[in-house]
Amino acid sequence: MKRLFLQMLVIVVAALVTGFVSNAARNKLAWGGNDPELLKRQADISRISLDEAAKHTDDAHAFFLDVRPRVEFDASRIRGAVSFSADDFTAAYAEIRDFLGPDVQVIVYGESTLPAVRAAEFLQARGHTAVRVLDGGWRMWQERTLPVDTGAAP
Amino acid sequence: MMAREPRFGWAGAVLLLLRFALGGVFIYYATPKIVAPDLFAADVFNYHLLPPWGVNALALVLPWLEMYAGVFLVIGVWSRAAATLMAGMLVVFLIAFTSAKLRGFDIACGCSERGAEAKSTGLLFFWLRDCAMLAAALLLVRFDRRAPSPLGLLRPNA
Repeated sequence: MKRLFLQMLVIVVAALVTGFVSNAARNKLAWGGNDPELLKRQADISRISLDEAAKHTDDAHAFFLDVRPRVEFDASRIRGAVSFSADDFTAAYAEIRDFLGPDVQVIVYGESTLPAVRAAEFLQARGHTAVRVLDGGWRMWQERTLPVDTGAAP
Repeated sequence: MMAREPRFGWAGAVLLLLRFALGGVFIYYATPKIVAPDLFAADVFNYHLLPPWGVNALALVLPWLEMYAGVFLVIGVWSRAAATLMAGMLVVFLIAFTSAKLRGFDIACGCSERGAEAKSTGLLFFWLRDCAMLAAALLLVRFDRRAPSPLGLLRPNA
């Protein structure tokens, strides 16, 4: 029994060392790993469920922002969504900020949660408080076959 | 009491098959997570179980734990230790996924699929699959002393 625990311990330690060393070696930290402040705050970002967000697809006072790369956005996106590519939030923000009035609800989504959280942080830092991250993101929106637009956006 | 020499009977063949199957599944599940830990971290976050600082740590270490356990099981070295770790992981996965579902999170389990391939996982399917793997792991923990090493040169549980 003692030997069994020792063997398990060796495997666990090997996994710990390999996980952190391999990550450091490729300099690609996991989710938000190089942004500890974001990690601390992301739990406080407001979220919106798929069902609730789906009610806003034709709402003139709701703004869906898609943080995926532009090429993926052009292929398909939530109906009425606007590209807010995580590649350059500043440039994307310059194009849309005039539309983000105080009565507009912003719903941010992406392929995974992290870029959407970063976008929400970016917007909140610029005074847009009605920003929420879509729970489940683009993946679950597609899974539920909720309304989408396809083809290059105008 | 003297330990009996392992014999390659039908039970040994079944255990060997279980070892290959379970180890292979763990290696298969671990690979995409090792390749894209950031996507796996997002899946972990969706469970809403860990504080932010724990998400990254788990996303970096768990895939390698699955990989090592899978490899050790397949090659038949420290296979009971590997199977015990797998059983522990499977129990944790069952609790975490059931908890997330009960709290209303319609999530993909994060087991193997990544990015756009990920689909929401059904609770029943998840339970059936994980319980089957858990049963296999427990069988190996209990009986794997009798299974030979597929490498031939290595004694089981050497």
